[in-house]
Amino acid sequence: MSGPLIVQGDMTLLLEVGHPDFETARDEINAFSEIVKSPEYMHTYRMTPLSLWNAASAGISADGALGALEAHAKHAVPENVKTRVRQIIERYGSVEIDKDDEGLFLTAKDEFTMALINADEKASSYFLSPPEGLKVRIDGHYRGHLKQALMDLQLPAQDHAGFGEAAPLTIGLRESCASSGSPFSLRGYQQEAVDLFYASGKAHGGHGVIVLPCGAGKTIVGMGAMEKVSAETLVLTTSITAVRQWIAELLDKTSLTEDLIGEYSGEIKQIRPVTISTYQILSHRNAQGDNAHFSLFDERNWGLIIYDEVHMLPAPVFRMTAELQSKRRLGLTATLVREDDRQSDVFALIGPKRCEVPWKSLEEKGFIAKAKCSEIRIPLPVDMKMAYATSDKKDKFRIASENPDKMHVIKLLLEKHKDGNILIIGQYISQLKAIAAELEAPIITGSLANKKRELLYSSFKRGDTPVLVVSKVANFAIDLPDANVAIEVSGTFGSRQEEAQRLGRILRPKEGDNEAHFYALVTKDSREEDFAGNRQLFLIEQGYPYEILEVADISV
Amino acid sequence: MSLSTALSKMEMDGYFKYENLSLLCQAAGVEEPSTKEEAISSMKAFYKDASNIKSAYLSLPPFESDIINAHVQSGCCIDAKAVNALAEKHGVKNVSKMYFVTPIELFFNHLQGSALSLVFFPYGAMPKEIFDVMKKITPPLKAVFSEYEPTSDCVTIEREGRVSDIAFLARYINKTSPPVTANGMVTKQHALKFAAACGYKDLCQSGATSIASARSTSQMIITSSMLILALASKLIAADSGSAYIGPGASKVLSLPNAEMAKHIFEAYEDAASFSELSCIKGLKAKSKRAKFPEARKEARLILSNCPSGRYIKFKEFEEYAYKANRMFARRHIGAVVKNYGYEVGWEAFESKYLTVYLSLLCALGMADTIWCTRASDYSGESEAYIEAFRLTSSGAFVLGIAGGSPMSANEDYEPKNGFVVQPNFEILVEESESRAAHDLYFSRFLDKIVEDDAISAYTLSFEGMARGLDSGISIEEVATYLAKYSSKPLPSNVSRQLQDWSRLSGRIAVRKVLVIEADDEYLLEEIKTMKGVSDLLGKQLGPSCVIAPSDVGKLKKAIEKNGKFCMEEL
Repeated sequence: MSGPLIVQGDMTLLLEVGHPDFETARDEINAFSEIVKSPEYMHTYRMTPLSLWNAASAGISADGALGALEAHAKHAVPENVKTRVRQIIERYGSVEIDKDDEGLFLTAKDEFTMALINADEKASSYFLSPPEGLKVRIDGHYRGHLKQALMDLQLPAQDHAGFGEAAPLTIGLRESCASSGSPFSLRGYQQEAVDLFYASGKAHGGHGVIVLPCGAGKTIVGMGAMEKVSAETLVLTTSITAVRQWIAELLDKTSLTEDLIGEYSGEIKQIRPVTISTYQILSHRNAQGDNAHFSLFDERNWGLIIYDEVHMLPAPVFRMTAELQSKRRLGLTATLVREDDRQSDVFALIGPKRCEVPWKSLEEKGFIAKAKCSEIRIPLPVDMKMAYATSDKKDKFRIASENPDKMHVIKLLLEKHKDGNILIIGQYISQLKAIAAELEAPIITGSLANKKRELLYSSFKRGDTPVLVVSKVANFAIDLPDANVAIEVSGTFGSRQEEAQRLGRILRPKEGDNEAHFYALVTKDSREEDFAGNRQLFLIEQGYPYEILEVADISV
Repeated sequence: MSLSTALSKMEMDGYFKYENLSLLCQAAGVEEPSTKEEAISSMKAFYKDASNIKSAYLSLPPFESDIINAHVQSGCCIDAKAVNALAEKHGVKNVSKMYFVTPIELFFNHLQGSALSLVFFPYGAMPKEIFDVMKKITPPLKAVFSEYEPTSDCVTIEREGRVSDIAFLARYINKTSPPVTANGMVTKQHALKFAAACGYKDLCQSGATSIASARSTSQMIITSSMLILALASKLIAADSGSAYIGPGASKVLSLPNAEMAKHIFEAYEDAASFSELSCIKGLKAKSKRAKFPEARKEARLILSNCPSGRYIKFKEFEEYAYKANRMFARRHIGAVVKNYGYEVGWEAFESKYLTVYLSLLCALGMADTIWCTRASDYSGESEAYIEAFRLTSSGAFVLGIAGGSPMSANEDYEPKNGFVVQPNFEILVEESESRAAHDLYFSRFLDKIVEDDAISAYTLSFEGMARGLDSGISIEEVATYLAKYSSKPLPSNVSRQLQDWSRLSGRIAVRKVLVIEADDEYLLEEIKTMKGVSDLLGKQLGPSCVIAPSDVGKLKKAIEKNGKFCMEEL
């Protein structure tokens, strides 16, 4: 045994990156495990019930998964792991939901499983009649709720009941972009993701999640799915900026025209054959405490609902989604990991993972930019040291974040990347305003009207504005295709997604060397370093190379 | 007794044959001298020429020749039983009714007048000079062992390759510093915990296969043997009521398995303070000058004549040991007595000694053992005994039977590259020959996040480095260790962080100093300018504060909680 994989008794897998069989092993284990961290030398994966059920739904058997483990293992695969993998995978498919002329019914693989479900108060409450042998009639309205209850029993259901009739809508993909005229087609992995999701229109397809890294074109996969389904579509995303980005992309790359696309947001309430909305507005409650905008789901006979950044899906939308099981559902995300650990709800209600492409393989193929992360440590000016030393923790962080000597380093970096499109991202508005004033660069903060923001984004895209100073409003779903440098002058270590999103701003493929640079400016020997340490850890565990530099190390 | 002494003690016409110098001369075919001095001189000349001794041996009748062979083969320890057995074999009858005779006296009594053998026993014993010659002439004692078939009601303990259990034991002790009893054994509770974690087979001295039923750790045959070996090799130490990692641990744990077994075995063999008798209920050496290491070396010689790789009956081995060197232990340890004071024989001493010896070898993976149970002769209680054993290949290597292992011993052995330092500050130590050494090093100050059969993982953190500094491990030392043994290049961010920590680590210290105190700074300045004073003053205390001695620990913790290293230099 000399493979690159160490299989641990706790179901984690350690994969040696430098091993000649790394890529083969990675591609195989990726199908039934989820990546936990991917620092330079050894990547950690974890096999969970969900990852194994995702694999089972893609047709991977226990023998297949164990065969892959054994083929690549450096040491013997622990016996408990073998047993557990078998037990978990065998649970998938022990319950099936189907449909006949009389409606929906559930079938259990054996009497024990049926007894288990029948004994569960919640699951059995969705039965229309007592079980007859291994079969029981279920209430179609509660198909999603039943699937959630079955997940609680660790019995993932295979849903073959299919979908209802939807309002048709012809959606085609353009051969060239409307805005630039440049040729357009789906990349191989995007097409594969669409095909795996759609499954030639069969009942076992049409619901599930596609996992692609930031910058890999999740929106385009969504458009590919829309073309396949060719029905009226509701797209739910994270912010109004993202809504408009979707609209711009649909107009640019599909046959849809403006009159067919609606924006349903806090500002505009259009309901059209393709409607784009936000999770925020759908979660909004009126004075009576009701979700006033849930009616959007019933306004049209949607054939497809797309959940953009599905890991952000809020609880109220989950509840609603449970009742939308007769609609095709597509989740798009860069990570299945949720801060609230509700991955099993995503599995039960949206569907299993249909496709995941490791970002490293996309980077190798040039589909996303190679990101270089650097932390630059800048000493605090001597005259600020006493003020820093005598401040409390919170003020210490602020003083360090607003270290005025960072300005000098920003200028050095602008000089270094003078032909680049540079984003300067920060936490403190006063600091950002000072930087913007010093550099005579435009600034985008939360208080800037959306229209003005759009104008600045467009100018940045065209290259008319090479440097843009942005507050954290730029974290999510803005598409800045030509940004190749991000300089973070201050920031807190927020959620894992926020950090990934921040870096994601610069990951889209670049012309030329296809490189992107992420700089974090940090005050040396200060509390800011602790936070930088967390960020460093996160980015390293995502697999990005990370170096620590002194000011003197910056070569212009 | 030397030859000269023996000859000088003999009389020209002694009372017994073996005291009669004239008869000795006759037996040797030397012309009878007129004076004792001449006789001694003639006999010395006779013995000086080894061919004379050889000729004398070759001319012996079969019975005498067999006696001489048996005597030499037993290391000059033939016993009366053997003499009588050979006499019976050769149809020789003892006519004398003398009692309380030595085996050699018994032999001469059997000879009924023949005196040829007298050449070999001047003054009743075989002097070293003659023994040395005879050892080369007489055929060696053949170690013949029959085939052994294990029976189902016995417990087989096979431990080839399990010397790593002892490394695991050291790690366990390092982590837990368990309490120990007066004899250096960890408490039963810890022994059970360790044995369960390690998952090896053990049994009680009573023969029970569940060691939970043992009254104490000493009754767990393999566990107690491992502890004895670990203590003897200084892998662990026990003091002030608890066990901790020993001074020799780093070196021992860095060795490959076969070398580790060899090192531990040799350390045990040389351990003067350990007595196998402490493992045998009720026995103690009469002499305070017992040389246990010498006895072990003799036991090793006996064992090295056994075959490896196949089971042999302990009974047959014991018989062989008895014939080959029945005094192997007694010669160095002296008389061994029971608690109530009477000297015990082979069954109670040497036979039990060999059982302890094989148990230790079994713990080291040098021997596999098969244990059965019987009622004790003394107490009637159930006791486990070795029914059979076999030397393993590593046992054969250590004893020098199989021609040695491909791995050679190296005093300067250093751990091999066996871990990876990841840029996220994780250190992954993979299963390898060096794993135990690296584990030991890191576990002294780092937090272990994973321990699996195949890998251990640690996190390099500020807190860990602060612990390292407290235990005298400098950050530079850690950086050097990581750079030296990491299989992959040390990530630049980790290396940079270590440099930063190193830079920051000496900045805050709590240390003891004497101060000269003045009421105000002017007075201090005045003192400083006084003639003969300035040379006596050290650095003026700058950024320093007076603290209460009782607050040192609290202060250090508080400073470290705020992310700054603080050295205690008191």
